[in-house]
Amino acid sequence: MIKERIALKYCGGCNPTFDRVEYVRKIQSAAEDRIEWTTLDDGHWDKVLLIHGCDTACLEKNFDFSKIISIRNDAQDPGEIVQRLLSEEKNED
Amino acid sequence: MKIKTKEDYVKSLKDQKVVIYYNGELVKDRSNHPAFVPHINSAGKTYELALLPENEDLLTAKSNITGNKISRFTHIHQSVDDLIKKVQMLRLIAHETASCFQRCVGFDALNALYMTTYEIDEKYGTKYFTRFVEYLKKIQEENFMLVGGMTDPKGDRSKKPSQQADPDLFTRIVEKRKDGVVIRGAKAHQTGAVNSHEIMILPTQAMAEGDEAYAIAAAIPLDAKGVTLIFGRQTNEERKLEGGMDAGNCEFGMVGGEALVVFEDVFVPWERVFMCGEIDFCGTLVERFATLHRQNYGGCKGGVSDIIIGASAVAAQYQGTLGASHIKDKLVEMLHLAETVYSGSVACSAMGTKTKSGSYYPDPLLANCTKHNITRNIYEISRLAHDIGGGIMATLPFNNDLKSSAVGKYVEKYMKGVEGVSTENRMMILRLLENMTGGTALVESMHGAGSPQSQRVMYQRLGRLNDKMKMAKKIAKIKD
Repeated sequence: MIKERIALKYCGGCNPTFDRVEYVRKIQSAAEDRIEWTTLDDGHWDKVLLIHGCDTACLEKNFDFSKIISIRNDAQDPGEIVQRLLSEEKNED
Repeated sequence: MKIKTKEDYVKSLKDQKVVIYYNGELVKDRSNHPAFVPHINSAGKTYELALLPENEDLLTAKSNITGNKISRFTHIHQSVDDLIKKVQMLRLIAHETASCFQRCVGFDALNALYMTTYEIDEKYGTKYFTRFVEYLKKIQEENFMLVGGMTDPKGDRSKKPSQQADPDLFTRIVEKRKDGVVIRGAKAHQTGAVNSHEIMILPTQAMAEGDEAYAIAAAIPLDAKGVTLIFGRQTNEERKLEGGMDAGNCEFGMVGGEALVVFEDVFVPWERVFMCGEIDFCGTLVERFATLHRQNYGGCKGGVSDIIIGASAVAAQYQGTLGASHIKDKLVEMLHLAETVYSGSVACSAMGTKTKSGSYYPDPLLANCTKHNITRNIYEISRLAHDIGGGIMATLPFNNDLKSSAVGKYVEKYMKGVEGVSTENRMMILRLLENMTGGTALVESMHGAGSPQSQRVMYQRLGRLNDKMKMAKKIAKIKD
């Protein structure tokens, strides 16, 4: 099975409204082995998962939205995030 | 050695032999002295967090000189976004330490010098900027911690540096040599000095004709011959030596750990000298450093205030008053005061401008307002914390009493609050509040980055009173 390569990028976390690391852990757990996680520096990725701590979403202005999924809270079920990462959908919240 | 981890940082402190006196005694190893360890832990957080994916966007930056990824504490601001990220970073780290993490002073000295040396060279054809950039590269690559050496002892405040009875009360050049200069004097209240690698001395105020020897900016390693540090005694200083609950914040301490740094004929080679006699640029350099430093306070103190607010709420919960309307109202007021100081820091950053050097600089009037609010709001936040916490904060028995086989049962019984919360937990949160809201912590809010009068002076200069008078006359239909 060809895994989707997802680059994970956090905002700096100045005053986050939820535990971003814990939420990512849940997403990674829900993804099981269907996703290969990497970093932006790696350069070889299919999509980018941006994890913001609040609605300011500082990182969004720096990215091309065609391959971005941007998270601003932990309201969505982690499994649904995984589905979005694996689908053809390519847009932000 | 490039410093990446906290462990690297602590080792680097151990390896660099600095002359430090603590309570009259020479410190053998600064890296493990119990009075310094909390401050080392706090500064160490700036290294630790930079390595975490969830924080690196704030804690690191891309160097405009080398293109390399560096600690933001060694970065030259390249945009308004950088200025805002600085403030966000400070709030984030304060949430981890509840105390000063010390690296902003050197950070601000670097930025003030970058933009000012560029302009000195432009006017005089000197080579300070090129020299400074070479120095900066080293700091960025090594990830050294710098003290920003601004405050001279000043002696008789009514007299200029050159008029003082003792000429050393302002740091000065006592000799110019072919290969460098010799410095004598001292810098007072130096935050983080005992756990830094170098000090960047800057002139302490605007200088006039006759004060040329005092117009000196230079980088000096703290292990240079002739440098002596004398640590400042804080409120409840000895509790740090005990560790544990009574210290309040035993891991990260209180404020930054300040020291008097003495220079007894210290030689500084020319490649480390970035201003030497240019009295007309002293005022500019001082104002820029002050503005960059005052920009910070809504970030770090805003973050520290978040912890005070949280601790106040926990203390109220533990004694059954959290649901009382007057407690809720006081907590709301504290939230308002904390977000007010934070918004000042964000505002002066958002209104930042590009300097001739290409680096960015916060709005000076708004930055001064931000720091001025700190001299008031932190006191009010602390007053409300004392109000909520109660007198018990000042009268609690020792932790050893709680653990005593003889009287522990009484402390346990009579210091208890609500059911389900241990007496120990109640004492711990009250000790934290005591640590963060009294003594040295408050004085630092008043005088750190300049006393309130220095901010008022800036309002007079930057507040455009004449324009406001014109606007008022226009609305009133007054025709002069």
